[in-house]
Amino acid sequence: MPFNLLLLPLLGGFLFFSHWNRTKYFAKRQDKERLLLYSSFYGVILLAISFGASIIVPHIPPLLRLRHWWAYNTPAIRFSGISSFAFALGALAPGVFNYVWPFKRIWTSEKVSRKAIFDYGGPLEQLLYRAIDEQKSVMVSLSGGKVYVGRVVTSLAPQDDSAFYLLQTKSGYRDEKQRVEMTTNYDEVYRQIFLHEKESALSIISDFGVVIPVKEIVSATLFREDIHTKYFPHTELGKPPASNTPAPTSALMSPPKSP
Amino acid sequence: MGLYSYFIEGNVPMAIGTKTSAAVADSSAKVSEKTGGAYTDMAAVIQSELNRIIGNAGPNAGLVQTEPEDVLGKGNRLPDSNGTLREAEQK
Repeated sequence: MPFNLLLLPLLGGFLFFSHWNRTKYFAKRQDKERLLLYSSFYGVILLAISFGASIIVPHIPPLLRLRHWWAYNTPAIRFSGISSFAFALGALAPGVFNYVWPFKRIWTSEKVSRKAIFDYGGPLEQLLYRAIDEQKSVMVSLSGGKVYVGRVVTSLAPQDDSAFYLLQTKSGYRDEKQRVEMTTNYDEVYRQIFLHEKESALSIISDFGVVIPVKEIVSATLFREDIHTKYFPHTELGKPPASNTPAPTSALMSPPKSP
Repeated sequence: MGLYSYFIEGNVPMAIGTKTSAAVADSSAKVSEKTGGAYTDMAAVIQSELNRIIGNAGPNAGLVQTEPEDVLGKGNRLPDSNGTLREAEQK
């Protein structure tokens, strides 16, 4: 087989690898070299299937007529049919596996994508995914001392893990003893916006979203306000602890401190 | 118009990296087929936060309640009148 004809199975392998539910989220996490190798691997499989099909075709009259049509109506290049068939297989097989029962039940996008994040994602990506999935808030401390608490809207993308998007619900800073001091509580702000700007409340609140650059992050953790308030009494060492009852919500909070 | 339009009809202004095409904002975690990154609907996050804030503060007039079918679909559980969850009756 002429080497340039191997390009078609390689392209077919790439299409298959990057579109099949089972492998597409894995493919997103590969660097260029590995992507080429995986595409070649699937291209070889497609080529083998195509060769196998070429052995069967002479025994099936409709396919034999198709083969004759191909021979007389396409440029006379040896193995072009086998190579093109491998490409077509690579392009069409993901559709079959993704949308035809029982394959679509075995490899669902939801299941496979989640598995890819927990198998191949970093700790931060897994934490952010968990925050989205369980609808929990995260607390992020930045290198400049700024602290944000909020709900994750967009997590990290494997090939561009430079930032993620957060709808902030609280913000503050870390003091000289690295304790968290919350200075702004957006609950009251959002409530006022909702009550007074009904027509455009959603649009306005969505503008409070903040992009957090990953390189600025010092630490990130899930944040449960009730537990945080209850079990971190925010006291100086040597001083009696404050009451465990949650503080009332207000636009500007008295700065609670946590260890 | 108003929040009904935002939440039910899906006329939600897009924010960075958010998608809201469903009729009712979907708060579940999704993974983008283009980027491979997880995301959720901004509208659903805001709705959830407003439910938490306004729901605790007083009557949540204007907030859209989740359809019972959605609740059944999520966990097959419905809240009792006293707020506790119970298994939904099989029809």
